[in-house]
Amino acid sequence: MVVGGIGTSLLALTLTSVDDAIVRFMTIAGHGSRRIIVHHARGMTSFLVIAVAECWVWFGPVAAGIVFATGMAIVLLMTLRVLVYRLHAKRFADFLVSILAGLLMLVAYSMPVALPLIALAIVWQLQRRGRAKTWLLA
Amino acid sequence: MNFAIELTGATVERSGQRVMQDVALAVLPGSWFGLIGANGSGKTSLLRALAGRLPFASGSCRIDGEELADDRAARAMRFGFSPPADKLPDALRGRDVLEHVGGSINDVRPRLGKLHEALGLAPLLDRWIGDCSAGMRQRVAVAAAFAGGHAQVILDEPFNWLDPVAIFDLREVLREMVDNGLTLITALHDLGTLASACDTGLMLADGRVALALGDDALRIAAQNPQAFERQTIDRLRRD
Repeated sequence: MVVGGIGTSLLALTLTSVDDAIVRFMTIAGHGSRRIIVHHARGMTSFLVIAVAECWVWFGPVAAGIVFATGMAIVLLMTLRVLVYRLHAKRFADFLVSILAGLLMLVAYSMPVALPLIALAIVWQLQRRGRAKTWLLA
Repeated sequence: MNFAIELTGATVERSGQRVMQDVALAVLPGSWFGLIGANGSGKTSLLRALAGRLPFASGSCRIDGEELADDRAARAMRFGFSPPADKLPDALRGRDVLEHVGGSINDVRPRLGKLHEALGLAPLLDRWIGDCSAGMRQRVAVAAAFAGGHAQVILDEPFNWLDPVAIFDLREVLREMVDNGLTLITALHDLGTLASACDTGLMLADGRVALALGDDALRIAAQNPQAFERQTIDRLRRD
């Protein structure tokens, strides 16, 4: 089960790679955050559906739940990267994403109940700022 | 007179610096408007502001009679705009670039019309941008401006990096498209193209209008391109 979990996480991570140049190009071409996130999450979503179903069949609902939670965390990380790449150059954006991911992990550890609220607040704030960047070519 | 694009007292700022001020221009529908000027004269800023890729700090911008100076997104949706070739992502194919701008390639292809052949797009559609030369990237970038099927298109130095055959073919097809109703605005460095292909134009210097070129002036220029080139170069040196 551990091997399966690690394998699933690694596969999920490779399916959620985010290319900053593509995010910026799609922003210049007039795509909003949602479309860019959907574009990047397509592979991951299909994988997650199959992985969760397979885990349920082979290892039971607990394993499927863990895979689902891991997948959602990876999708959240991908979402943060897309939103931050719309706002900042790659180097600073990666730094900011690592700070935000660290903050979310801290919240998950100390106040798990508050995690969805904090995550939503961060995503909403980044999305709001990113909306002004659509089409922009500075 | 009903202008497709009318700019009055337009100012653009970048990073707090005023890069273009008090610019006025008017473009008739179905005409080719050429913009010339030295490097750093404000051509790119003007085109990006018109195309909704930069905000106007002040002034009026009327497009098809509608005031859109304060509505950057609405301006962006009115114009086909060529993204800078060096900003095309290496990890996309030519086809992906066009589809991101104009939807399915089956919808994009008829919108390009003769441009598809003039730009030699067929082999570029399945080629990764990262494997393309500067000229190939430029072809894809120019095609992207037409992928959305807009009646008004802005191209920033579209002939850069193209080989002589592609320059000739592209100029001919653009002129034909303009004759068929396209409103085209291009920044140019080639005075010959300005004289022979454009209907009207403008020379920018230090972010201001240095010289407005009406259709009469460009008609005379087309008859004697060498004299026009000499006069324009003298003017650019002075400004």
